[in-house]
Amino acid sequence: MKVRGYVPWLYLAPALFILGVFLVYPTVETFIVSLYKNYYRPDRVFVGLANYLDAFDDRGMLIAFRNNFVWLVVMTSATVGLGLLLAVLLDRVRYEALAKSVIFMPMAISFTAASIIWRFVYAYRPPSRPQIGLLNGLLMGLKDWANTPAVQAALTLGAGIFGVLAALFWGLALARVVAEAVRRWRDERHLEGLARVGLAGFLLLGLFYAIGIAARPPTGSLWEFLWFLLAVGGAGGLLIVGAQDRRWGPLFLGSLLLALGARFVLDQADFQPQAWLTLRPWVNNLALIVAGIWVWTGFCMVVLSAAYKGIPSEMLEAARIDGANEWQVFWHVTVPFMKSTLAAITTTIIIFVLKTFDIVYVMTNGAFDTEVLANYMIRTLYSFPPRYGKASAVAIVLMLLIVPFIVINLRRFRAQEAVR
Amino acid sequence: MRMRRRMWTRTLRRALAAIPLHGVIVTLCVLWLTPTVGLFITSFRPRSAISDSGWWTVFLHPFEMTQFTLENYRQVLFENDIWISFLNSLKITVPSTILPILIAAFAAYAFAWMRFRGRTLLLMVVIGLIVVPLQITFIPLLRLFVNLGINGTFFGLWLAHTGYGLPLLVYMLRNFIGGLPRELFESAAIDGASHWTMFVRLVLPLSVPVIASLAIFQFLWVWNDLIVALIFVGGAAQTSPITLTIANLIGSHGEDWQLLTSAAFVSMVVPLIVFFSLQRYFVRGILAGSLKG
Repeated sequence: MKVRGYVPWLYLAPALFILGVFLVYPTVETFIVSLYKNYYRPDRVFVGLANYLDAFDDRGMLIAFRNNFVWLVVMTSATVGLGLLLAVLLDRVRYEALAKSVIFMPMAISFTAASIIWRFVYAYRPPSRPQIGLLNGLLMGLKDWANTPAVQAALTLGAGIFGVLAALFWGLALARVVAEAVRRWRDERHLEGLARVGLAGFLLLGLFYAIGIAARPPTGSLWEFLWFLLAVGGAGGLLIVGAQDRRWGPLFLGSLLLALGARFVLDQADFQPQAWLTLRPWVNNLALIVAGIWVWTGFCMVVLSAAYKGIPSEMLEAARIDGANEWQVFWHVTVPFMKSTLAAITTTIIIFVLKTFDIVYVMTNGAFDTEVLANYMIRTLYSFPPRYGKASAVAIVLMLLIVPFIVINLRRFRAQEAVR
Repeated sequence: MRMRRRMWTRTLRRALAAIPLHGVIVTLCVLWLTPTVGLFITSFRPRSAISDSGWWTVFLHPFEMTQFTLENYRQVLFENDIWISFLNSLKITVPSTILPILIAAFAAYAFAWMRFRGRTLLLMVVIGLIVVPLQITFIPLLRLFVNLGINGTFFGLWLAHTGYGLPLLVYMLRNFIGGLPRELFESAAIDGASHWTMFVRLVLPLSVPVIASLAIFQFLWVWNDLIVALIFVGGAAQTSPITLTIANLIGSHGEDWQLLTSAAFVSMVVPLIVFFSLQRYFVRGILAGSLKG
């Protein structure tokens, strides 16, 4: 459409002016500030990358890096995993809309309110006073319960019985898997199942060996570590093999959970109230991450649920008719079909995790080694005297970490729009 | 008779098999809901009760209404100035929603349906600005605001939120407006409509659904924002939005749960109303906004 030369610029002017003043100019200036010492004073000195080196030499920054990494791994896997689980499970029940509202609700409220909610969950009082925080209250309740003689006896018995049952069902499941693999090897020369069983058996040997090592005082050698890894992998693999068996798998998992649950309650018998947010370095960071998971799982659930409903139901039905169990359907049909959505949601969560600020600022303000990059930047900015150069360097580092993920996201978004 | 019995057992077996499914879902829902319920109940309990027993003890006598009080809300709203902060939040949020969407709609229309030199390049630059994290702008903008004397004013916050919201809003609106059928504009042009007429009479009415989603996103983003307020309001209590006031309450009243819980709940009222009344637009808005840098 033809327009006079200046008309488009009338439409664009307000946007361009504001973008120029509020985004372009500050970004450029922050970059320049990050290369100077005392940029805003007459005696400024160009120092090159010294601010960056200074930042990376700082314990606070290194802790922030470590924590951001932990946030990244734990929160991303938990929100995406839980979101996927909920998307798949909720599709099968009639109260889907209601349950979705419940899980999605935290997305509506501010991180500040969410932080108050969780700070209250973790609230701590000395053991002599009644606990008012949900977590300490719950564990104290379990403690009282575990210390009742009758309950204690019942739980000990239950843990024993269900432990034995779990081992039994697991053995039965494994036996079935082995028998099936051997049969297929004999009849069809089908190697895969047998190979898997062989590997699992080998790993089991590793497990026994590792138990032997664990019984002795640790030497800290590399071999010990490798055996440990092998043992953990082997035990995990064998558990999964057992859980996948159609007849005994559910029984095995059920009794394992009951045994572990009883064991957990028994272990609370000498529980003392904990100030969760001061337990460095893992408990308090995890406590903060849980608040983040609480907020963001709903987002993952909604996106993944839309993708799940996009899978043609004939595909799922066909797989079931071919004899796949729900577990196989999930891994071989559902997950591959949702791969692009899963990737998109993962990058989105990563961006948000890297920018995490409010939860940390409100709940601990980075105390007790819970610092993250965004909060560290603000603290450097507000230190006295303000260290503008260093704060700018941290901001630039933060941006460099985020940019690749946003670019990936935008590309994918554009590709989707092009398809539409 | 036998047939019926077999059918009945089958139904029973199916119901039993579904127990783990419902168990997992209900457990997760309870886990998700309990912290909020705890906050809600605590906000109605008197101060002494809060520190003498856990909030869950109210379920021992759930119909005993004397254990609840509105005193916390009275105190927090009128003595701790949460009411003022609540109004401040509204005064910040409403213009910070209308302004960027209006400006973005103009720009998006120009990018979509006007031809001018450098259009593609300029659009790429605007979209590229989505990647700029807020933190990177704080130091220069803070100094600029202080020099202009708009630090700690509503006006400054409106401008800041407009700037931070614009790139994504322009991008989203351009995608939508650019996707409207070309014939619409051609026939309007033949009828002699100017760009202004097309924008006001054609584009804006057609964009109402997408604008609604984006407005909800921007509204909640600004309402829930803490970091921008922290930087550009700072210590100015008379313009502090509710999130910032609550964050400051933690510093001064970190263990006064009767204040913190009721203040947090006051701040949640508006988002929860938006969430439950406009759920469809809300979800769409959140999905669109998730690209924000």
